[in-house]
Amino acid sequence: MTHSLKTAEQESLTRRYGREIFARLEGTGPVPFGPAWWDERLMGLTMGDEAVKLQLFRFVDVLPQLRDPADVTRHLREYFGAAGERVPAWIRFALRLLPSHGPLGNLLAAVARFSARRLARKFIAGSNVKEALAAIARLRRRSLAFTVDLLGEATITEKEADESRDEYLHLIDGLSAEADAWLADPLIDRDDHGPLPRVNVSVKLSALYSQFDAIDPDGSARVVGERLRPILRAARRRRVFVNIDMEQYAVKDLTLYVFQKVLDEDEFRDWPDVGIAVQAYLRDTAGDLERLVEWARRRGTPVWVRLVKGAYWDYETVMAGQLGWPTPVWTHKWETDAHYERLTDFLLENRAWLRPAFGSHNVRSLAHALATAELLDAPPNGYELQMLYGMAEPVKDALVALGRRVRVYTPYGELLPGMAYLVRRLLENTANESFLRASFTEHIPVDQLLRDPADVGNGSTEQKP
Amino acid sequence: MNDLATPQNLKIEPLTDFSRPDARQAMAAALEQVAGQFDRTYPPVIGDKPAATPKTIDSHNPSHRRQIVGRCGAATAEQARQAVEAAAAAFPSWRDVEPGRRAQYLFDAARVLRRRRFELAAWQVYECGKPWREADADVAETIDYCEFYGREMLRLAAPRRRDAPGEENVYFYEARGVTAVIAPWNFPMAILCGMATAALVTGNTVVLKPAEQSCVVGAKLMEVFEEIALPPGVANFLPGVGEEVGPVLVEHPAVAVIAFTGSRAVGLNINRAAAEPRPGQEQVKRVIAEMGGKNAVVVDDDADLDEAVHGVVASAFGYAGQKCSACSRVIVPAGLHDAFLARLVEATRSLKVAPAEDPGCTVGPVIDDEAQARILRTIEQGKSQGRLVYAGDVGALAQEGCFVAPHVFADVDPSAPLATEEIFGPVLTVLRSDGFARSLEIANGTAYALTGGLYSRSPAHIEEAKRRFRVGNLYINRKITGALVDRQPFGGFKMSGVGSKAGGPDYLLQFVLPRTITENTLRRGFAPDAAQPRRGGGE
Repeated sequence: MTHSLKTAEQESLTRRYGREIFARLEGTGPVPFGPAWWDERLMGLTMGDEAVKLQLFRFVDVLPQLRDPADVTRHLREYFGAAGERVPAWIRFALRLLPSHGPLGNLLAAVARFSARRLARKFIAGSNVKEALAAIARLRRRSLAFTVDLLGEATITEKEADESRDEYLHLIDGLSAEADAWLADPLIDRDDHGPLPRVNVSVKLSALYSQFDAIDPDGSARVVGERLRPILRAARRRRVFVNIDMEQYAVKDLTLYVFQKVLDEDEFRDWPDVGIAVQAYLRDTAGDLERLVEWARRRGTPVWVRLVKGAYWDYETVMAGQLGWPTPVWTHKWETDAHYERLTDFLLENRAWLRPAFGSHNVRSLAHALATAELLDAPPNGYELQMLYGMAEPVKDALVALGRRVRVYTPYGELLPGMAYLVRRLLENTANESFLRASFTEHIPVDQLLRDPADVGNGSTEQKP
Repeated sequence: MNDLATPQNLKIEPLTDFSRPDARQAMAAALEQVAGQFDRTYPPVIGDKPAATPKTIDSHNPSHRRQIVGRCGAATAEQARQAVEAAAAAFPSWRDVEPGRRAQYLFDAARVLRRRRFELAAWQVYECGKPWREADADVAETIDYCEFYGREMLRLAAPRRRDAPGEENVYFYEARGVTAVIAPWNFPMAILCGMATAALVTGNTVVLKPAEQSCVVGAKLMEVFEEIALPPGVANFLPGVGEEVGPVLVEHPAVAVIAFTGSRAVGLNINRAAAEPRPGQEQVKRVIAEMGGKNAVVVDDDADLDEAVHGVVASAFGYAGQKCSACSRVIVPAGLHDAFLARLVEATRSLKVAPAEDPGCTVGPVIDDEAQARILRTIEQGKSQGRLVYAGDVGALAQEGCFVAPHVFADVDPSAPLATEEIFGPVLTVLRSDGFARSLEIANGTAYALTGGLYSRSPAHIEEAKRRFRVGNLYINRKITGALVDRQPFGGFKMSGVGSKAGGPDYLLQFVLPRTITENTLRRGFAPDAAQPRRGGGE
């Protein structure tokens, strides 16, 4: 069936949806993300130069760890002094003039901190549950649903794993206590099966066990299970949806294994308000989805699947190269995009068991999902679209206007542990192949942005490799 | 691929990806298979004959001390002499085997090792208490040595020419002679094989003396050498008690090279004993000694703590700290000290101490009862040198095997024994420093210079450490163990060793003698190149 779907009809409907979404973006001005974002001078200045970009990201990464203003100015000098002529003149000028100590040094440090915090706040909804709730309220006013992600340091101790469990429990309590007070919004609070949990939490299994390691699946599953079960119980009791995030490839199989093992247990077997993320950039994912649909059938209750492209491409590529292992990811962006579309087709065909959530900012990918859903007679609320907090805002609003349910992945947490998340977002937004960058800052024609990714691979080389 | 081996086309043997079910199944099956072979006895091999011995050495499984994984014949001093003589007899013809052919033996050995990869790793799990990944890494490194040294020989085999008109000048390398290979138990196959293959491929003949604690794994390597059919006497296998056979190997007049990896005390003893010429000795012995370390990781103010704590824990407690490269000191600036220490202690507490065959094991046993007693004694003594901030408890495992749980000390003076002497066990000392320059000073302030580490995000400090942190292997923003052949040639200086770099481009040179040959090709005014038509010449 997947094959027969690849028809001219699917392609033309995809283009139609794509053009419609783009048309709705037109009115949002030349800087669609608003001055607060694309006005960021540093972003604009560094996007063209990989070396300066690297230094900037490294500086942003280290900044929260620096306590003393003198340390901040020293690091600024070390990172940007070396980049020479390519660093904007005003920065070089400032670095030369400013002393490390005294009021001017302090000012420079404060400005750097303020800028980084401002940057982080574009993508991170707050540093505590209260701030996250305020951000969620703002989202709901725009008819956007949410899933909350708890940013934390890497879990390297069992104490931290216990704390993560408690924080998830605290989060579930805190959000569900507020949820009843929210005004009902049928666009996001219901799907074709009925009411949906209003509160939706994303959980990382690696946060729940310091020795989470695929070399020992059963040992890992046992310990993770002990901490995951109370979270799932609390969520079920308070009618909260739980989605399991997908992380590095090294724990991909283990994550799927634990997910299935725990949800097969009697107390969770008939619970539909759970899901798992899968990554289209992995070559494995088609097979994983086939096994997942078989499993869900045996279980007898559907689960949700959040289909994303995947955020660790550089890491996976570097590590595979270093270890001499086959790379688990597609090497070309268009291959991931094409795979994403095949997986989209598969999910929509199997939506009785795997309920689809399409996570992407790429208008072509989203349009493809909308078109395929329509051709397969999936009701508009029988699937959902997911995007990250702080990214592609006009696209979210356009999809809401088209009557689709859009859920925003909303991270919150302290700035320090949030840096890894922030740097991933910065990389995404400034990558040469970023769809957003192509759409909004490089003024590439809509028809080219909407091309079938398979055609990109078939010889035409307008997109960079 | 082997037929096409060139000095340039080395590919590091990938570690096994144990997230793959097929890999986990293969390892589990190998463990089961090997567990059925614990009743065997491995005699010395002298010439190409097994030699009967009056005594045997029981090799115990340190995870389950009552379990004997095999027995090795304990060679006598007389048998040690016979082994050296067998090697000496085989030397002249082996030296003259064409270098490419000698390299081919190593490539053949790599092929056998790959075929037996999981089985050989399983033996290490049982005999040496190595967790799965550590055991697998050792076999991978063994393969790398074969592939790398084979290629290095191909590179060195090309003679250096400096011809002048009427004169040929050739500079080339030749083997030194009989090489005694005295190996430790902590990398029971890789180090034994690395030292042995370096000697063999350069045309020396060898006597392999494995550590008593890992003599079965040594015997497995000998099986590999037997399968590739080295000529008789080229590789002799001499398990035995070090005190019995060691002096014979070091002092025998026919021994030309001693390749040793082990403790500083033994290494220096060998160096001294080898310096003394014996009756009948024809050459100055060459000692290649790789000894201990007291390796430090410097944590900078701006370090990524997730990474630093994780890297220090992995470096300090991987294989229960029984690596020459292991981290035993971590130097932390005062401002970060308490926060770092608290997290370090919790991360250490979270490790899973377990028998090595348990795939979830992150800290296995130490090698034997003697090591256990020695480490526990050091910990006891350490209590007067600082604050014992974490003392792991092995619980019921204490009855079962030679377990020592991780221990962490703090508030120790940098000159105290805890901070200067090698412990070779899961004991980590945290030292407080007041500034980056002082941290480097403390790091350099021991008798050793093997490995070191730095966690920093300051480009200037990283540059400074590259210049001033004087160790053989410096690692920046990663763990300090797990050096790879060719990519990270391994070895230290000061009291850590003679400056030799295993898996590096200079390693084989220690096993060879360079010779220069000059031939006058001019006879009666006629030289071969004069026959070539030359501009300006005339008939």
